[in-house]
Amino acid sequence: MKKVTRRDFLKLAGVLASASVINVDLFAEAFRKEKNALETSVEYFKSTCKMCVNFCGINVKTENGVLRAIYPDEARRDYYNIGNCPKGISGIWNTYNPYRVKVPLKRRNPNKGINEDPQWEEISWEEALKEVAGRIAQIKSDDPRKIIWYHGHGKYLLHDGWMKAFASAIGTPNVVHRTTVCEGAKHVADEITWGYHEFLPDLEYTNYLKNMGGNYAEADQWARWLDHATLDAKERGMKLVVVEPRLSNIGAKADEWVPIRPGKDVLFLLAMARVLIDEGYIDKNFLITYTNAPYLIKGDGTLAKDNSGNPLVWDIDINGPVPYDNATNIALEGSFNDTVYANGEVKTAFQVFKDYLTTENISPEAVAEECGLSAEQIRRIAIEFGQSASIGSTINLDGKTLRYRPVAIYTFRGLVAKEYGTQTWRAGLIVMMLVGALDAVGGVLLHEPGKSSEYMNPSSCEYPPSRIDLKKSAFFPHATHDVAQQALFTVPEPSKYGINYTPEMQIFFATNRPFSTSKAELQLEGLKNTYNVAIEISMSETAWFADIVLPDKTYLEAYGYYGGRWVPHARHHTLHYPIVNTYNIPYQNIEILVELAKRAGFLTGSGGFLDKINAEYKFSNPNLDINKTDYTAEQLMDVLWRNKTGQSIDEGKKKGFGGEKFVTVDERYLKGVEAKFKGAGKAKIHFYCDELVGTKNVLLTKLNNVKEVFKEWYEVTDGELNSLIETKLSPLPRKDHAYPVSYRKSTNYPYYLITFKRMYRNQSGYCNINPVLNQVAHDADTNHIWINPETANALSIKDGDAVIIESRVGELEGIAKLTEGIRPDTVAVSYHYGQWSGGYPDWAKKGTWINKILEYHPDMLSGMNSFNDTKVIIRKKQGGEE
Amino acid sequence: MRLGRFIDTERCIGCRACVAACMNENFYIPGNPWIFVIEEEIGKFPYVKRRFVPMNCMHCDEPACKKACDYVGAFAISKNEQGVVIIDYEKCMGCRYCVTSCPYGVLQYIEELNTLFSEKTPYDEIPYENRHPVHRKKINTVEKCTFCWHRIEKAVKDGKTSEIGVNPEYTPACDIVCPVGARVFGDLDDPNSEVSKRILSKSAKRIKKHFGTKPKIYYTIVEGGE
Amino acid sequence: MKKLTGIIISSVLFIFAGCGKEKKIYSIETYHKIHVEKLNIECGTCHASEKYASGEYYLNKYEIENDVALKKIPGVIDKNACIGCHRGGSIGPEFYGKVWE
Repeated sequence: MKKVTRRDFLKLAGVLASASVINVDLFAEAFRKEKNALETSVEYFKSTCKMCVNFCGINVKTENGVLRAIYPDEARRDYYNIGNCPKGISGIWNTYNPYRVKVPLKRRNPNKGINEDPQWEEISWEEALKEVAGRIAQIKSDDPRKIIWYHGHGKYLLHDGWMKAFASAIGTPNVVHRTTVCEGAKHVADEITWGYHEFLPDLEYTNYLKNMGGNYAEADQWARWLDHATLDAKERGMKLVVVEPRLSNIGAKADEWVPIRPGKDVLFLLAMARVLIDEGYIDKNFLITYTNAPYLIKGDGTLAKDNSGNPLVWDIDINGPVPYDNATNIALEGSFNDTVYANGEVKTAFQVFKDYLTTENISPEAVAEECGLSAEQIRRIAIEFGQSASIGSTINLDGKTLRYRPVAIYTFRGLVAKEYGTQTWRAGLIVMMLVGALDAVGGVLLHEPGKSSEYMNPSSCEYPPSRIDLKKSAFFPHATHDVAQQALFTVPEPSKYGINYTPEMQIFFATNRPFSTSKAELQLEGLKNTYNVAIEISMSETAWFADIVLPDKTYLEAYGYYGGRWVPHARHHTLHYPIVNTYNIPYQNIEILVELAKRAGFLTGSGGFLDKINAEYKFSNPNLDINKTDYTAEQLMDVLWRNKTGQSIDEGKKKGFGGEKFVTVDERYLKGVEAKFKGAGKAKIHFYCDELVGTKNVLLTKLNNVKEVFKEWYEVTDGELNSLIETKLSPLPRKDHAYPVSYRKSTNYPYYLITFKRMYRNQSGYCNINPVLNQVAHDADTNHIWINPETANALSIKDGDAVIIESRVGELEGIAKLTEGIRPDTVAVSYHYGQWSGGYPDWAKKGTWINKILEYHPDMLSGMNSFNDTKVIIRKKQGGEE
Repeated sequence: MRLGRFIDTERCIGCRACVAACMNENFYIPGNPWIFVIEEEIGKFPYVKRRFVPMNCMHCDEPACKKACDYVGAFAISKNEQGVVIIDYEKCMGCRYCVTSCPYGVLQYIEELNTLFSEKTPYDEIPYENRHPVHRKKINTVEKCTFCWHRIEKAVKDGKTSEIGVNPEYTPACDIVCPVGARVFGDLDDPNSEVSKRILSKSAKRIKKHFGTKPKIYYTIVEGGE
Repeated sequence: MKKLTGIIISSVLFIFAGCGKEKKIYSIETYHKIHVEKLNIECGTCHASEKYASGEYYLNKYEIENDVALKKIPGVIDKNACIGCHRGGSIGPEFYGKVWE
C-alpha cells in the first residue's frame, strides 16, 4: 500500500476545510463532585514583597495557616504596583524551601575554598551567638575597624539604619552596601550635578522617552511602576526609543530599538548635544536661570570669581564680568577677557562645551561609525528629541503655570556600570539641561535636588582611606556610595591601599557579594583568612566561606521596613511582618543583632546599639529605651513605624504600607529645581562640574600615594598618570570616556561582552533555589551567551552549542543562544547564574558564572564596577575540550 | 455567559507572572504548566522585534478535546454554562486523545504527582478534601487550565457573576497578577464588559482560527489569527 | 520532561507489541497504531519538522523541542496535518469545526 505523504495529507485538508458539520454538546453537565467544604479558614495578609527592591504591595493568602498564594494588593495600585512579577508571586517558595539554612552551622574545616567542604556542624543558637559575639567583643576592644559589615539585600529587608547603628556601636567605619555593583555611577553623576540622586521620567506627560540602559521590563528598581506607566504613556502617544546593544524586554516594547555599540553612549549623547546646539534646540532661559552654564571658566578649568569668591558671569548690558547674583543680562555663550578681576581669557561653561564639540569634531557623522549606528539615525533622534521638548512652552496645572518639556532620558545599570559610567551619564544630564527637561512637566523629575550640597563640592581625597572599600578616598574621590566590589580586594592586602589595619572579621547579611561582581574568584580570596559570619536564608557561595552561618527568616516570616519607592504622583512607606514561621527559627536578622550586641556588651547605655539606633534614625516620638535588654523585632519596628508614619505597627500590619500621600502639583514641580536652583541667590545645577577640577587639584597632591594602584587598575605608565586623572576628573564629558582600558588594551579580543539582569534571579541571592523561578519560562533556569546569528555563523556556532568565552581575566564555558536581538560585535550574558555552592541542588547551579572573567577597572569617580567593559573571544567548544 | 479573555501582546513584557501565579494557584506539577509564554523573535538585526504570547487553554466554544474525549466514550470533559471547559479527573481514563487533538497544546498528562521539591512543603500537604475538585489531581489523568473555575464558581455561588473579571476574588489568578495590565477577563456575551470593549477597541484576534474550535482568548497583533 | 514525548518514544518501540489491552483506552500507543499501522501514514506527515516555527503558538512547544529524546524521532507534530481527517464529514473522528467568520 502506498504511504500517505504529507503533500497528500495537506491537499486533503484543503478540500475538506469548508465542508464540516458541527455537532458539539455545547452545554454538557458542569463539573460537580463537590462534597467537602472548600478552603477552610482562609486568611489574607496585606504585606510588602522583598523579593527585590521594588517593595510592591502583596496580598498573601493562607489556608489553615499555610501559604497558599500571593496576589497583588489592590490598595497599592494608586501608589506603586498594579500587579506583581513572577519573583513576587513565587516568594512562597523561598520560604517553603528545604534548601534553607534552618539551624546555626559551624565550620569544622579551617581551610576555605570553592572545593573545600566546610564540614558543617549544627550548633545551638546560644553557642553560635556566644561565639560570634565573643569574636566581635574581642576585636572591638583591639581595633573595631577590623570588623567589616556587608549587606546587600539586607539593606532592603530591614532598612540600613539598623546596621549602620550596629557598626557605629562596634566602632567600625566599615559598613559596605552594594550600589556600585548596580547603578552607583548614575547616582554620583546626579549628585555632582544637582546635589542628590534618583530621578524618574514624568510619564504622565512625557511624549518622548529615550531609555539608555534601563532594563525595567526585566529588573531594576522602580521596575513595577515604570513598566505599566511607560506602557500607559505609549498608549497615550509617547514615543519610546531604547538605546542598548542587547534587545531587552523594554527594548522589545520600543517604537525604535537603537543597538548602539557598548560603551559608546557618551559619543551618542555628545553628538546629540551638538545637533541640539547647532539646530537651536536650546533652552537658554533654563541654562542661564538654573545652571552654571553661563559661569565664566578660566584657562585652567576653574571658575572665574570676583574678589569675594563669587562666581562670575558676563553681563551683556555692561559688557563685563559681574557676580551671577548681580547680573541683569547674562551671556550664555562667548569668550571674553576679564580685566576687572584679572581672570584673563575666560569663556562661559557653555562655550567651553560648545568649543569642545566643535574642536573635536563631534557630530552624528563623526561618531556614527564608532557607535555602530547611522549618522542619520543619531541626527534624527536628536532632532526628534529637540522638537518634542517644546522649548519655551508652559502648561497650566492646578492653576500654576509650569515649564513644559515632555522629553526624558532614563538610564540605569546598562549605561553606567562602566569605567566611565559617571561621565557617560553626565552627558545624558547635559543633554536634558540643554532642552530644560530637568524637573519640568513631562521631563525628568529629580529626587530632592540640592539636598546634599556637599556632593557638589570638591572631594578631600582622603588618604589614607579610613574605609576598607576606599569610599571617598583618593582612590574614589566622589564615591558617595559604598564601593561594594573593592572591599574584598582590599582585605588581603590593606597596606597596598594605605590602610593601616588588617581586617579580621567579616559579617555578611543577605548578600552574596563576592559571587556577584568582577573577578569573582579573586573576590573569594578575600574571605580565606578572616573569620566570617553569614546571616542568610540559604547556603550562598559567601556562606560557603563562613565560619558561622546564622539562619535568617524570610520576609514572609519577619518584620521589615523600607520607604516605598517614590513615584511622581505619590509617596508611601512599606512594612512586612511575620505570616508564618516555617522552620521555627527563633530570631530574625535584627534580633540577631540585638542578641549579639547584648552578648558582646554593647547593647545598652550611652553609645550602645540602642542609643546608636535612636541617633541614626533621629527617633523622637517615641524613641528606644536604651537600657532595655529584650527588644523584639516587633517592638523595634513599632518604634520605627511610629516615627515614620505616626501609626502603631498594628495599624501598619492591616495594610502593609502607611504614611501614604499623593503629592500636589506644587510639591511635584515647584519644590525641587525651582526652589533650589532658580535665579539669583541660589546654587546652580552643574552643567559644568567645576568641583571635579577642584578634586583633580587635590588628588594631584596625593598622587604618589595612589599611583601604583592606578597604574594597575588603568594600565598606565607613570608618564600617563596626569593625563589619566585629567580625563577621569574632566568637568565635562569627553569622547575619551568612550574608550575604557579594556577596549584599548584587549586588542586581540574582538567581541564586546555586556552583562545584564534577568527577571528570574536579580536582586536577591537565593532565587536559584526557587523552583517556580526556574520553571516559569523555558530558559529561566540557566543563562546563555547571546550571539548574533551572523557572528555565530562565521564562528560555526549553532544555537545551543557549547562555546568557550575568554577574556584577559580567564575563560569559561557557556551555551550559545542565537538571537537577532544583539549586535554582531557584542555578546551578552546575564550575571547571576552559575552558582556552585555545596548547599544547592544541581538544578539550582546551572549556567555560566560570567563574573569570573569580567575585567576590573573601576570608575574612579564613583567606584562603580566595570561590568560592561570587558572584551572577549568566542569559539565553539571542541570535542574533548575540558 | 461566555467567559473569555483579552491579552494585549502590545503590553505584555514577558515577565511570566501569570505563569507563576497559575503554578501557585493550581497546585502545579513540575513539567505540567497550565499556562506558558511563547517568545518570538521577528525580523533581522537591527530591525528586530520580540513578542510574548501567553498561552493557556482557550476554553473553546467547540473544544476539540471534548469531542475527542466523547469519541472515546470517557465523557470526562465538559463545558459549563459559563463556557468553562473542565476535565473531570474521576472520569478521565488517561487515554490522552484530548492531548493529541488540541491545536494549542494545552493539555498535560499527569504521569506522576510530583511536587516542586522532593521533600513536601506545608503547601503540598494541604489535604485533598480541603482542595477544590479541580485541584484533586490524579495520576494517569489529564489536566489543564480551568479559567480558575474554583474562583469563578465562587462568584456563581455568591450570585455575583457580574463581578467576574472585576473583583479579583472572582477572577483567574493569572489575570489579577499581571504587572502591566495586559490581561482582561470577563463575559464575551456582554458588550459592555471590559473584555468585550478591549477586544473591540484593539481589534483583537484569536489564534488558529482554521481549526474551527472557536477559542475564547483574544490577542492583539498576532499573525495567524483571524 | 518525561511525559508525553517519553510515551511517544515508547510507542515507537512497542507499537507492534500491542498496547492498551487492560481496558478500552485510546492511548498514544493506539494513536500511533491507527495512524501508522492501519492508515499507513508516513512519520514525516505529522512529524513535519525538527522544531516548531518561531510563531507557533503551542503551549508545550519548548518542552517538546527541548526533549533530547525527541531528537531521535522524526520531530515535532504539525497539527495542521490533523485537520483534513478530523474535520466533520471526513474519514476520522471529528475534532475540528467549520472555519467561522
